[in-house]
Amino acid sequence: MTFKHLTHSRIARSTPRQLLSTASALAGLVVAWGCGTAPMHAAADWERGANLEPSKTFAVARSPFLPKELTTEQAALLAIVENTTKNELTKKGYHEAAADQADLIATPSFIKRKRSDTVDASLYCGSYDVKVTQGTLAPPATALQGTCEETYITQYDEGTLLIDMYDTKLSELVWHGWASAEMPQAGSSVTPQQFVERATVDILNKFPP
Amino acid sequence: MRWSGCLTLLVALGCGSASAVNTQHEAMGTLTGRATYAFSDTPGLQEQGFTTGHLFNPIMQRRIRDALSKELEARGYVPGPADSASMLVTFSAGSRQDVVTQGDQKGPIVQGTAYTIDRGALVLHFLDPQSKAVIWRGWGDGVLKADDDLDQKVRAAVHQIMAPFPAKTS
Repeated sequence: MTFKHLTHSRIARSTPRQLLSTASALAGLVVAWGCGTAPMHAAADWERGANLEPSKTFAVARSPFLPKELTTEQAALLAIVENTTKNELTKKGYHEAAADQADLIATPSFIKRKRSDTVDASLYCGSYDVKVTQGTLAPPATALQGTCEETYITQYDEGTLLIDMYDTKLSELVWHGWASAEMPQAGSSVTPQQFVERATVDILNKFPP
Repeated sequence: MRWSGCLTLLVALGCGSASAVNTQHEAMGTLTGRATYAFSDTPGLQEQGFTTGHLFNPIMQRRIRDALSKELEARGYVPGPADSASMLVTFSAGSRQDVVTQGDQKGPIVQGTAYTIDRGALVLHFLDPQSKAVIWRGWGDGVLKADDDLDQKVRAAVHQIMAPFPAKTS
């Protein structure tokens, strides 16, 4: 059995929009993931009961959700993710093997989407306490008056790194990890390379569950 | 009541809640005499701003299928081949981000505090195999949090949505 067989059903279900989104996200990573100071959140979902013990062998393969043709920069970022994945799994006790012999196959991919955020306007009322609330309840505005009672709704591009783990014997996806963060504007001290490496490490900190 | 209208109501009711799953159902045909079921394709969700994303992966689909099978088994239904089952089961799921403002204000600047939440929705459809008409449908939505146990949350949602589904009658 090959990786192609494993992922065939998922490829069939991919919409052009999903694939376009993937390509766009990769391009965005190269251009914009250069100053990642925004909080990153990693999470995972997995098949309960699946055997993911570190005694297993693994391989890292190209995801069908990635564009066929990558730019040099994209390929370099992907290589970082792949190498970091190998390093992290090896550190955890998994052993790298050829793709046609591995128990588990890891495949990284990327997506991008528009998100909204809220910024408390108290910044502009003499307070320097900016309350950026990504996906959480904003603090109550207890003493805000006038324009201080306003909240700004902003939009940003969120990039997500996904790592899928397939069980080759079951021919099934058994673990799905992801890390999301704002794709910031250029000018940060954090390089795209550092950013994707951190995302990969954060995701694999959730593996095995 | 149209499906989209139901979901609008559902979402509106659910926006103020913390993490509970809001559910609704609609019986549109008879289940009498139906004893077997089979799963059909799992279409993507494109309703009311909910879109199917990476969380609706094969792990999630197997989970929903498993939870639904248990609910149906508990009601006396048994799985059967797709070409002879007396009802077909489909499901879809998706998520969306809502910006919650006081008085449902819109625009880049709103009065008072505002916050964002992620909502997930799950839709179940039971179809007549011959006509493909929907005979029963149920749906639910709830707030998704970053550290949710998706297995627990989704199984609970299936259980809640299926609560009013009738037991097998001959």
